[in-house]
Amino acid sequence: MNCDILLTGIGLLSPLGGKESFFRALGEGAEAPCRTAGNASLPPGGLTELLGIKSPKLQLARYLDPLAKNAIVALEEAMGDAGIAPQAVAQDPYSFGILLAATRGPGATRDRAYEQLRARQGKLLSSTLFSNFGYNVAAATAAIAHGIKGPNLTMAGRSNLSLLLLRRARQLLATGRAHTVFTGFSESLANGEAARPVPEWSCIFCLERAERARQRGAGAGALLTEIELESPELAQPRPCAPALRLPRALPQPLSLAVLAEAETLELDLGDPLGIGPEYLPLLQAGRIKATERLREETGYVAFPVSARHGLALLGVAPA
Amino acid sequence: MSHQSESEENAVADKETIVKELKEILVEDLFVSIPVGEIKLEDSLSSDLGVDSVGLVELVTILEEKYRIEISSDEAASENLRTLDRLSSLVLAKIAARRGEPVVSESHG
Amino acid sequence: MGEASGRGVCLPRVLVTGLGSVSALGENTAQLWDGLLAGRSGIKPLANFRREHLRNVLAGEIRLSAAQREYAERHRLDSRIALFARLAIDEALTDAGWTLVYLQKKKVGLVLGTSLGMSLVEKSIDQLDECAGEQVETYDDFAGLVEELAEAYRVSGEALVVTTACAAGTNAIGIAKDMIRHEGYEVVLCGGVDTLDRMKYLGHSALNTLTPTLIRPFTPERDGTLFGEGAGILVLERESLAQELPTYAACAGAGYSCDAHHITGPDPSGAGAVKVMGQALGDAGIRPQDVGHINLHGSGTPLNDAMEYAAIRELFGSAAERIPVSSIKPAIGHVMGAAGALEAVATVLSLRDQRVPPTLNVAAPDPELPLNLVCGEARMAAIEHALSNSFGFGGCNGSVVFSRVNAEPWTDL
Repeated sequence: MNCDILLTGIGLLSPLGGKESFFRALGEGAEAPCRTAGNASLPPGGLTELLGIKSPKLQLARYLDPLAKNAIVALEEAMGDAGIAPQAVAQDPYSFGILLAATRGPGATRDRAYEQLRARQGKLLSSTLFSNFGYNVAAATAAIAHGIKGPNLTMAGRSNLSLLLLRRARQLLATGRAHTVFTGFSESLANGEAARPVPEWSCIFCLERAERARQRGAGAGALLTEIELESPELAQPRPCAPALRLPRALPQPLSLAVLAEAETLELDLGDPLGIGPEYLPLLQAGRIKATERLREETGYVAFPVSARHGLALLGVAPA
Repeated sequence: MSHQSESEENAVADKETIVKELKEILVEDLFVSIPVGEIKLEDSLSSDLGVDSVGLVELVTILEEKYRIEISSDEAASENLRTLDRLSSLVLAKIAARRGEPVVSESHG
Repeated sequence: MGEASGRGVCLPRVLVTGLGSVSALGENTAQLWDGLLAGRSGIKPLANFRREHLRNVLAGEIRLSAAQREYAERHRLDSRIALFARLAIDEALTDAGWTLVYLQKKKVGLVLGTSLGMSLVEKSIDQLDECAGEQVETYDDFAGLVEELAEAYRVSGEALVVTTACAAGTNAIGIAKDMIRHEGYEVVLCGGVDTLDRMKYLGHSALNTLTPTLIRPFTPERDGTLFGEGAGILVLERESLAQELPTYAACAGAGYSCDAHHITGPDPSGAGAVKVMGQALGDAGIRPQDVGHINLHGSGTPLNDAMEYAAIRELFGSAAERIPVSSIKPAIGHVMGAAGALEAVATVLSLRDQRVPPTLNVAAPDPELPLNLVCGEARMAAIEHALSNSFGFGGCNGSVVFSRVNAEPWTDL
């Protein structure tokens, strides 16, 4: 598919806060606040309650699963970050799409419904809660909240799902089914356990056809591309991971991390920017070989995905 | 929401009790976000309390189960469910009919 | 061979070369199709889980045969959803003439749709009552299902599960088609799979989506749907590959849209449905009047059928009263995430045989929804292009167009 696609905005909601505080906390090795027996200062509820987020869009229904709320907020941030006004969506709602990963789905809602069902001696399952059981609830609710009527897809898969979603988004954009797709995830890692950081995350990228972004005067975005692997066993280079090329090289190149097919990485949240050296042995052993293109250019951003933490971290290729 | 025992058959069903129970159902089972103490009798179920058509169906089902009454879909679609006031009157009338009692139409206190 | 795109690049056509089905009408595609054409019903009283407190105890349930159980044992399968998926994939691959030895040399993908799958119950072949009371560990089981299937069928490319509720099967087929047409995939196994369990029936009882009687789509008496289970699988291939074996149809177009209206009810104006059907037709390069048959979503709920009629009326205009349409949900139930896939199988066979199966339980269609609804008996029809619709919870919509292999694409000269 020959179609330039740009990342123009990011929205992020995490137990460590929004975009800026999340990355700062990563660099500092900070921990997310834990709701333990002794820590009564944290408000009850999910992530939006913890972070004190009160968007009017969160009032759109009597009941919303936390994942739906988080998707509404993260999408709104991505939209704002990309400089897309709500009026632009309202004028052309079918040209905007949503594509989310959901492997676990609305567990909090299901748990609550089961508890209620037990209390009712198994007779009456709450229809309000059952309406929110589906894996596509976060994406569908975000669509209602923002009036987005283009392709609305939710997918589950292996642990590199967030990466694969970039390819699925590229398909939707390159085939002209939408000119903007909000892609990402809204997920929880566990259901309502008390003594943990609130285990919810949402990260949504705004991906657009480059010509559309240029036409509306968007700022320079990161170009979606693909890292290819060469190997003696392969007849031709094989695409291995979507990647983003930054508009300019970083002043201080950091080490490279390359995702090899279905391998997942165990990453230490305390030291995310030093993930490169672990992979040099793989490079040296010839199990992964960077292509010419990768070696020569600067500013590639690869997205390894941590199975344990369910999030995408960034690594940057050296000059 | 717990189910009441057989003694519920003989419990007093007056407007005040029913209204209190309805408010609890609205908050606990239908996730109405307004606190019980702030819900008013004249509140519209749909526009003030955010109970949409799916919620109304659920509310009717819960009421039928809890009070052992039947509310037809015509009754559910009509003015009877417009406000909390009318709804509680309907429930009261249905309970009385089930027990073969005359309807108590006004609340006391 | 391929069709010229706007930029003069020749894009390959996508062909359907194999079909696999497991449904309430039988263990394979032939039994499904024979049953549909004969007007048989696979709806039966529930036997796989308890019936108390349910608004209806009828469903398009599958009672596992000895052969199916033996297959599960032989492959050491411990989940019903994996069983259905593998039975159907096996049939489809055999039908398409692929063995794994040859398949693993190609660029192959797997895209399946499901709604809730087995996420509400303990994993099993047939113990499907509500979970005993403790937290259910199966919420994130789709990743496991995908891994299992990708390994079993040596899928070297992407393996995904689409979870857009009732539109999932149709969406999966669209994604698979585009993977071949635009991303260099050679073969993609696609479709949908879903299972019945008590939690789903309790939920739909509470939501009043269930009819207290039978599914009667597009009739004045319609009052809800019934659910079914099973799997539908299509083998899609790039045209250059599909040589000697007979091909069923071309998968010509797909559309996606979202109502952005309500978490369960459709947008009554049908705007989302108009959009999704129009997008599929545009993708296939055909006009509304070129469509010879529509396989309806036709779930039989008061809201869906009225909306689907309004949308078809708006998009097809006067052709709406001419095009033979049908819903197979009364025969096999609404198979949720597999509905779009099983309905695609039926649509493809309608194209092959130039016959439309009847819509069951229709004494007289609703005069307020005047479509050419095929009921009573199967009907012969001249079909060059056929459309299948799926409208899911959350307002997620999907449409897919299949064309006869030798149909000429309409071009603007």
